[in-house]
Amino acid sequence: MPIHPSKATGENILTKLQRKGALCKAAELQKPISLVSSGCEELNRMCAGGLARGHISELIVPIHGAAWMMYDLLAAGCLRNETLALVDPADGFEIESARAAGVDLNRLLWVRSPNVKQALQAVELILSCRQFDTVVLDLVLVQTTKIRTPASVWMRIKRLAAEAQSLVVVFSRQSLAGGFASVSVRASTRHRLFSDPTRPRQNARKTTLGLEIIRQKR
Amino acid sequence: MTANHEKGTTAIETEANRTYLRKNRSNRIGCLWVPDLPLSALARIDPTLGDRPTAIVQEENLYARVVVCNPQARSAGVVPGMTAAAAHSLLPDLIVRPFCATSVRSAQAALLDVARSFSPRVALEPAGEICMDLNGLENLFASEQKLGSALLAKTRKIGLDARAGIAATKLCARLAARTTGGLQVVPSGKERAFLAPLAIDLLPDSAKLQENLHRFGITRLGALADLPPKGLSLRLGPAGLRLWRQARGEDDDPLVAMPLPKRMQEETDCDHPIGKMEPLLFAVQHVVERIFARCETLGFSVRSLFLSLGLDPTGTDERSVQSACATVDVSSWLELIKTSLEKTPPRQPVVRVGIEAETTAVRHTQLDLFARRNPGRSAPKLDDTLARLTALAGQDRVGTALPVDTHLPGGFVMAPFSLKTSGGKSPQQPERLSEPPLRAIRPALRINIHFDKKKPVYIQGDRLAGRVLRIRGPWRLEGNWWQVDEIDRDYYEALLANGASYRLYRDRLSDQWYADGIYG
Repeated sequence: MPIHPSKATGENILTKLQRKGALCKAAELQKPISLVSSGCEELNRMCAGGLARGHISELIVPIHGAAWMMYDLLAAGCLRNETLALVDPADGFEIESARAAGVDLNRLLWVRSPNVKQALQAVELILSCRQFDTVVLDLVLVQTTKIRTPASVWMRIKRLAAEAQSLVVVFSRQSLAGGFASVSVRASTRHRLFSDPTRPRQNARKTTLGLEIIRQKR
Repeated sequence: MTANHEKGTTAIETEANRTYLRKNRSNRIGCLWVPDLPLSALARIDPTLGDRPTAIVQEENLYARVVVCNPQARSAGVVPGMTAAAAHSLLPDLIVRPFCATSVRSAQAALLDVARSFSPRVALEPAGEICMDLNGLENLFASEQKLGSALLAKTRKIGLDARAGIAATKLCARLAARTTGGLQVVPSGKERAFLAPLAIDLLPDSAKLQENLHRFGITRLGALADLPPKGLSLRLGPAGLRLWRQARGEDDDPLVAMPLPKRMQEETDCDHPIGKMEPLLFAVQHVVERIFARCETLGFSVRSLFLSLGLDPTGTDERSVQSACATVDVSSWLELIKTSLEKTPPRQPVVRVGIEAETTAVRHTQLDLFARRNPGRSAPKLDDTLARLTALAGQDRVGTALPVDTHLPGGFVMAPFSLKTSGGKSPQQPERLSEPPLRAIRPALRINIHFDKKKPVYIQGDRLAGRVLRIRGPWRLEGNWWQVDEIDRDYYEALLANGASYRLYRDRLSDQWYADGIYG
């Protein structure tokens, strides 16, 4: 059966344009998501490989029992030879524990902003610089009642993270980024420091983690 | 064939010139001189003056005398020594400015930098000329004419219109520069012939001797050179003999080289007190641009800037601006200065802007002798960000935390952050922590502990409270007993009923309890 000449010409044109790269399908425009390790195997497994670059990831953790998650995340970034930034309005970063976890302090920019508002401004500044691969905002020690974050801030951070292709991780005791986070994970710890009287601080971490994904958008 | 012949002749001439220069390599001196330096220095600071008639007076009032004026003013009859009022009556459009010593110093320093970009041995003569040793440059420039042209081109680049002279002796080079409108090269061996027709008044630092020689009827250097040295020595002494040798082109004054400065300084006086940020930044920008033009001449980059702002009526605002990496990018530095000025504005209006730059050599790229390393497109951006973060969070609250050598828990110092691009050990996977990490509570939280039969049962504080399940300790820590901030503490680890584990300590000096960390 002969092909209709006009249809054949149209298909040819489309094929040629596709070959030249001038034409592409909508699905092809979507950038592939780059996943990086969070330093926590359980979390990586739950998030289908790791946390996404260019997106906000939110980890809702209790006040105690989740510091190692942050240190492991920073250490994983150091393993990838990344430049890291930690915005810490509560001034809770403990360098000895971080070094013990494997964090290279020379790669880490530590911003001890005085309050949450300035911490969010600092995150925006850091992301607009486009020099930092991982940006961590630690709001765990900040009093929950003091945190007021307008949605526009998170929208800006999300856009800047996408432009910089940086991994933005927010540690807090309540969900703050909401729908602007690509993944929100709640971690509950059942940490007991002196569970084994003979080895008081050994193996304490293995029994502490309970993770639950409360929101995921990919 | 003719072309080849001409080419060959040129090559032979060039080779002959080079051979000649090699033979006389110990005596090629260059000199840069800017006529009417105060005027040129002023035009360098204020390019709007352009070709407008300008005169400089010693003080800014109607009775002040004109010190120097440009050709446009001279053509209208304005001459040095005339009062400013008389000059204005001759030329109503005349721009009269007071003498500015800082601008003259800056112009001289800039001229020295140009000379240093050609030669490591550079000297500033008392009369204001810059002399430099040009030996060894014959392999870089085809002829001395081209060398001189390059010197003048570089001088024009920093905003000065200079004259250049090249000769075998210092005096000869100085007079060559002073008696030309552009460049004058005196070939080796022709010094006496060059000097002979020049007036004896051109000789520097010899006013008394010149007066005596005029009395003898000697007005030209050639006539002085023809005099018998013995009789001259008897009448005028050693100074007269030295003058005679100079007139014959036998100058044996050594070139006293000046060391390369590690800092570059530029200043400018404002026309009126500046109280607003934008005009002040405009003034600062001009000074920064002048410094950076000098830096580029010498291949330097700038690591930090020290600002000295003269305030109205008295006082100085001094501050330093640091950069994470050395750069001569004007916009980045202006952004850093702006951040600093916005954070702590000057107390009073500014009447003078002085900037001193701490310079550092820019390394060359690998496998290239001449191309200088690009400081990195991203580096200025990082500087801006760090400066803004510092302005936002405060000094000593942004940077890299470095541990200090102490047995006290939690000791660290903040250091400036810089990008680690390469080098160093590759990071390795650490072993799993054997003990739970700590989150610090800064400052330590004061708490109350309730005891039951000397056993702590309940902790109560501002942000923490709970029943104590277990407590371990104490670990005693003493230190700094030789200083005011003596430390004497008993540390404990406490597990509360809500699952939280805290690090507590009792200050034995004040008998107060504190929580300074959360485990987990």
